[in-house]
Amino acid sequence: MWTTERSAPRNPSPSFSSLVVMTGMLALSEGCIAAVISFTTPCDACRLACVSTTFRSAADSDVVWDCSLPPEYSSCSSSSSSTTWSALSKKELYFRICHNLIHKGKMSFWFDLLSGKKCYMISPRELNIVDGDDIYEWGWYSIPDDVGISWWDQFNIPNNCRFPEVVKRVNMIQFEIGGKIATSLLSPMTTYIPYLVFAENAICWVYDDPAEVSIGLAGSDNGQNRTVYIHREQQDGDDDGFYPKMRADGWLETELGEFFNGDDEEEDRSAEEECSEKSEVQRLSVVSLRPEPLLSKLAAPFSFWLDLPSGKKCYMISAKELYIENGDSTFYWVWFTIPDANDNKHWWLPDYRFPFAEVVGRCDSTPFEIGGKITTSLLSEMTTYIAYLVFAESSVQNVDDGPAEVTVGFAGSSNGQSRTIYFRRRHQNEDDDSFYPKKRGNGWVESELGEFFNRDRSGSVIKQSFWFDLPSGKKCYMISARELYIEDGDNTYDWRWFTILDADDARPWWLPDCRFPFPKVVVRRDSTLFEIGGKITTSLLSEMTTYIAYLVFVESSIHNVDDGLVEVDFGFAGSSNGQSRTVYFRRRHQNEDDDGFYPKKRGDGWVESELGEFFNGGDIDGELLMTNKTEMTQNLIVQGIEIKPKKK
Amino acid sequence: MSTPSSSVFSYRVLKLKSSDGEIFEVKQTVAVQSGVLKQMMEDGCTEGEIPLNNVDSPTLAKIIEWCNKHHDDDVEGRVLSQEKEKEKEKADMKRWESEFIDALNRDELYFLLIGSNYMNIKELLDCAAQKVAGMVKGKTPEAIREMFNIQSDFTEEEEKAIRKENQWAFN
Repeated sequence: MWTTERSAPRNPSPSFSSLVVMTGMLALSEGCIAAVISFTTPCDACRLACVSTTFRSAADSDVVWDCSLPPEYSSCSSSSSSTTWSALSKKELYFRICHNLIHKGKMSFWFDLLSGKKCYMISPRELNIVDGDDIYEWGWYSIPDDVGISWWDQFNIPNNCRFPEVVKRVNMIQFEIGGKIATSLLSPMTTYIPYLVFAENAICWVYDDPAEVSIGLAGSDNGQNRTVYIHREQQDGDDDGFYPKMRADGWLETELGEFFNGDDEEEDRSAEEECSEKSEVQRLSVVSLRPEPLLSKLAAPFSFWLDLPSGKKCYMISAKELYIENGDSTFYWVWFTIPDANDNKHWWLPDYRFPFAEVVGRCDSTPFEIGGKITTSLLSEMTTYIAYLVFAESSVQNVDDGPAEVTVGFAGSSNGQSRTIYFRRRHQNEDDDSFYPKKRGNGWVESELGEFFNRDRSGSVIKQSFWFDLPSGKKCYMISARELYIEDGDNTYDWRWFTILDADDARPWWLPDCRFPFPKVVVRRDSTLFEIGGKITTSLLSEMTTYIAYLVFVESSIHNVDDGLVEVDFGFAGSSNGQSRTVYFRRRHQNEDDDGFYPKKRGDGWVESELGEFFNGGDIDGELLMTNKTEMTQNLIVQGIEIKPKKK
Repeated sequence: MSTPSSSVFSYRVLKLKSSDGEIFEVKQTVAVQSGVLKQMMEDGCTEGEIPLNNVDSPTLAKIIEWCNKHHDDDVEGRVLSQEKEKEKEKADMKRWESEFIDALNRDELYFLLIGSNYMNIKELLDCAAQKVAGMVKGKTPEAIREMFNIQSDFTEEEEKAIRKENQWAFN
């Protein structure tokens, strides 16, 4: 019908440039660029933003960042009513979710994007380096342009560094280096691997210098020890973790061991993970080992994310963690590791979003059994959960329906629910009775297994809400009203508790949106003198930071009473040298000068009133008390006390 | 061209004119894969030659080759029970796509990217974009500028600011 008459084939050229120059044609449009960038990584996207203005607007567009966000986030922010999320661009959303620097750069923090687990990198200044201040042993250099590094020192060293300083080993004698992290900072129920991230500046003549590494909880002696090798030359193909690997950013990383963090978040805050490394690096011509940071990674049995906008916890359990009948028998099941499965041979396998290393395929057509379990304490309380089997089929079968018996219930109890569902999609009709599987956005198919109401309050009563302040990366907390000390708080004549859901149903006009997942707010009904207070352990706060505590509240009606004097006390438990001040609860008299004594309207509709400030030097570990005493505050609704760093 | 059927036939063919003036005839049923052409068909303005100013003839040929390959003549005529066969076809298609894209040199790819974006052919755009993405991954802005032969149109301050804003990506 038409002929593909081609002119002589164009010569392959080293860049796009030649022809573009020749024909003087067509710059790439923003749409093209965005399409390209959406197939790269977030890191590439940010780098590409620096190319030109067109690239920048393409790289910042929502199309690009949609792909990097977990599906829950991307779908939410466009449709949800929650203004907090939808106001953000997808790029901002991405950075809120997965990129953070904390502790004045002493640690870098991020959420692993796929699993939602917490990861940290510890700066070299925070590492325990034996004789670290001895200039004959170690040299400290600030990055990027310290004149102290000669040109050949810089050779072979990545020109990028997350932290402002690196440390360099200056001689060839055995040394010791270690780091620690509080396990409470880590995600529970997760296997972490610490890595030493370093670089070498010259080819070493000696191969295989062994290093002794040990990892374990501080104060316990049952850590693990292993020997690893710091030099790269001997690395062979098999990835046994004993040789360093080149990272995408140019640094090398060496596994120091692994560690399963099974702690519940509430306990064991003081437990510390310690990794130390002893290395013998004599006989080397030049040794420049840069123990930049320790990096934690993970191998995930679960993937975890928060549903938006509800904020409820969601989990996906890896196939490896499921109970699968005859799961090890190759006659019935085949295990694929995901990278393998990504080649053409398994074209039917949809994209995977989750960090599970393996999927399993059924290769027999007899009946089989498959199951999974999860501790209810991991789930959000007072929530109806639905369990789904997420799967794909490699070929369409002629067998209709494929009925399956499913049961959901508590272990050890017999009153679970059973139902029959169908695995085949073809017979699905319009009415969504959930007995047929549904196609998910990412190509997999999900089949409802049953639903379950989690009443469990044991594991997950939310007492505090936690976030990182941006851009400082400092920790902020809000303490739920339920956790505050409230004088006569249970007396229904004085106070009335609202659960937020109730409040949503027939929402009083004066109640603003509640951003935080606290189940309750409290309303003052009486106008006599009352006292309200809260406390927080200082070890939870970021060090070297001035914090200000705020009472977050609203008032249901305008009062003619001016000022509403409040006495505020602020100080450590058991110490008497706290600060006292008087603040005013009424907003009307606030004048322009921001002296902190009058309440301020927040973006979310609540009002906050400064209670006092406090410098956390990290040296005192104690409970910070905040109390205020006031009268004439009928119809005061308290959401909680918020502790956040002072803005400069 | 004198039988009645041929007039129906000619009605169902679009004449696409590339930027260098070559005319390509494409079945309407094939052309619907292009969002732009589809819109034109719906608006009923496909009489005569349709100029595609951003697409040169070699690129247009490539695009039409893609569309012809992805055009399924009788979707309705096919019996559903042959789905197994269909799945196999899908696999073949994927292989064909990757061969199609891999066979292009950089310039061809570049123009294909522009052309598919211009003509709004989502699948082809994705395929080409993915290939180009593989080439730009891990490269510095300077390397990208050289690659696409573009000049930075930032002022010095702007460039400094945007570098700072995205500093982490250079670490």
